[in-house]
Amino acid sequence: MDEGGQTLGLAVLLLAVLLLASLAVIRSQTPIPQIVVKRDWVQAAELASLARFWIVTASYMGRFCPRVIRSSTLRLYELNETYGLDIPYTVNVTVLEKGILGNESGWVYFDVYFYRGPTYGDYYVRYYVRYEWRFRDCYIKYVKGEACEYANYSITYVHRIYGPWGLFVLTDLELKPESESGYPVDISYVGEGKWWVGFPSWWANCTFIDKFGVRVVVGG
Amino acid sequence: MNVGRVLEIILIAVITASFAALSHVVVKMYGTPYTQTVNRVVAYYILVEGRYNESKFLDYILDWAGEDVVYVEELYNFDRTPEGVLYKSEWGGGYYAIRAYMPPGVVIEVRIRG
Repeated sequence: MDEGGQTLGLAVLLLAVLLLASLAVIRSQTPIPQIVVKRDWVQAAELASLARFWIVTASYMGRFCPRVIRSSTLRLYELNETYGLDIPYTVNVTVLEKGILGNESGWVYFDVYFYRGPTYGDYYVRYYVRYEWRFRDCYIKYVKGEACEYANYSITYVHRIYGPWGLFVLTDLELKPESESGYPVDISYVGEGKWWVGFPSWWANCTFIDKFGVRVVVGG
Repeated sequence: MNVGRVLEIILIAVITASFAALSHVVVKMYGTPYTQTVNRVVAYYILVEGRYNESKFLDYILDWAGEDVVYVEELYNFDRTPEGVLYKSEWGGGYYAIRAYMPPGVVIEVRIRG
């Protein structure tokens, strides 16, 4: 064999050794094949709807209930497994805070975060609900010929949903009084999440329900 | 063998190794822009509507993505027997499927033309 042929043979041998060594290292470091699922908005929206369900129950119970959270999450992930919904596994953080200053003003907010890893840094989905009410004035309303003093309040109420879509804000949430009574409740939507409501001034408070079932309590 | 040839062999090995290093990852993704459009229409419905209603959902999705949707089926309903096929077009080609959980407890499959 001439010198050129020996060089070529050596080069091929060296290449083969390097390739085999590289593949051996790769094989030892990544023994399990991985599948990356390209998710879009649907999976994040499904988690947002789960968060909304938790917020609805928290608005009734006054706190986020771990039992409700656990059972509803298990149910969703059972369906996820059965029907191949591709919803990623997440870790959640829930926050409920409120501040009420007598009959003058008050606020409540619910915040649910879903993380796909440790609970710091970027979240995958966040569902934030906040309402704030403020007493404005009183006015007289005639109900069945009777002059009644009504308390007039302003409410600011929004749902903010963060996810792969960016920020999605829901403002006109179709508030309705929770129950009927002999004294009608005045309610009007001003726009951009602002409402005016009026109810008899001798009521301690008045409760409204939005289109998703979240309970909004106005008054101290 | 000169230095240039050795460097060439090492370069080939490094490039092959770097490609091979990612070969264990299989990416499962949608194939067409239509799928993404329909996916987002379904997501928007989930975000905006409190409860799933089959006739309202069908009107909604056909209104916004009627050209792309070829099949809609209710697979699971938490409180009754699922409705089954809600819509089927005359499309005879390939399709991509999206399955979604609709609150309060329904699973649907939407097929989009491929």
